[in-house]
Amino acid sequence: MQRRNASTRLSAAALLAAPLLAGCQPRYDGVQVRFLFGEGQRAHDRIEVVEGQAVVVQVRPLSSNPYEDYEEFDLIDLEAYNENTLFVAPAPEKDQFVLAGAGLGSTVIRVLVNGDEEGSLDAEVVEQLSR
Amino acid sequence: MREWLAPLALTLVGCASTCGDSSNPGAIGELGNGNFLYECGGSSDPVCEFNEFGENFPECIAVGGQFDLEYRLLEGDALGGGLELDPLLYIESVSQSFFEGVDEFQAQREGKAAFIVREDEHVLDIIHMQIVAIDDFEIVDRDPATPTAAIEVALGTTETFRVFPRSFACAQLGGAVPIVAESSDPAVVTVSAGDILRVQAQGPGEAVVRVRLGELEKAIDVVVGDGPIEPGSGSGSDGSGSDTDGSGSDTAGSDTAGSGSDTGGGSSSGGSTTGGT
Repeated sequence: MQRRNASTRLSAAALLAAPLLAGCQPRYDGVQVRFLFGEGQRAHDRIEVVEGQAVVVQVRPLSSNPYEDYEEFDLIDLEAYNENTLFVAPAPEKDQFVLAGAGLGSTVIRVLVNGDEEGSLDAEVVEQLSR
Repeated sequence: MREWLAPLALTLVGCASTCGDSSNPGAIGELGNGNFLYECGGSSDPVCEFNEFGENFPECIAVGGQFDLEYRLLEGDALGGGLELDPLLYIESVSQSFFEGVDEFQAQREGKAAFIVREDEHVLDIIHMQIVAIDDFEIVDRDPATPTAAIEVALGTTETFRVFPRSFACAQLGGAVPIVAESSDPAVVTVSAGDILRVQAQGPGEAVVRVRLGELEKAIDVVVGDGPIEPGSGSGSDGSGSDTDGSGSDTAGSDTAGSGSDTGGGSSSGGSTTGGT
């Protein structure tokens, strides 16, 4: 009987603590994308890269939790759904990625934080302007 | 992209055997982690006009031009961060519609396109290269290396020529563009082309050899005598000289379809490519 009471108390404590623990976690709210190198841009609704060219971007996750931001040790990763349109690979520097326009068209980049898929980015590979 | 980019493997510690011999300093990658080295696509690559290994990294590549790239990481821990690298590096063209190929590359259309260097996971470096259309070409005798428009060949001998693409838009052009040639009279001369142009005398007479580089075309007037070529009488198989004035490569009658160019003023790269030793 005593053991049952102890178990009940532990469960109740866990239930109470769960929301508190969740409150200590960053809450994914998109990413900040900075173009560091190359001819690319972030339009209001998508990333644009020129066909045949490569850009380097820095990507950092944003948290909507006002009490908890993402930290340096939170690992972000990007994966393109269609590598024949957009090639995506990490650069040597942390949080930096190379995006390369392999072929004209649109695709989606999956955003993973600490291995979990948290969101996505629309991307388009656009034609080179004639010189 | 990984499927169609069967990669060119390079080791971290070395590259092709020509690396050590090359005086070509290469070009620093745009991420600053290493050096891209250019390898000529053949004897008719303008980068190697004066030197087997070339002396410059080209500013641009001719449409249709073939070439190869190698990469060497900078010495020391240039990458920092203790990144553990796979010992095999690969150079890949970002877009096959601009630079086609995996082992060596061929420029397909005008524009600017990138190559990336990657190991298993990371992209270590990038280089963009401009691709330009050729607007002229020169048919150059072997020795002395002068532009040629008319030759005399002794019966039974073979003359060889290099055919360099030129672009007025780019002084330091790279890429060996495959040569196509045909003889107006195979009974007088036969031709073979590809990397270099070979003209073989078959019988006495006169013929015209039409040479095409991409969409451009030029003609060489060929005279095959039935005896030995006298020294000084022309550019015979003994390589004694060219009977052109050296000022240009167009013959008066040669049609340059689509080019309309006349190299009478000199080639765009003759002086601008760093002179050979």
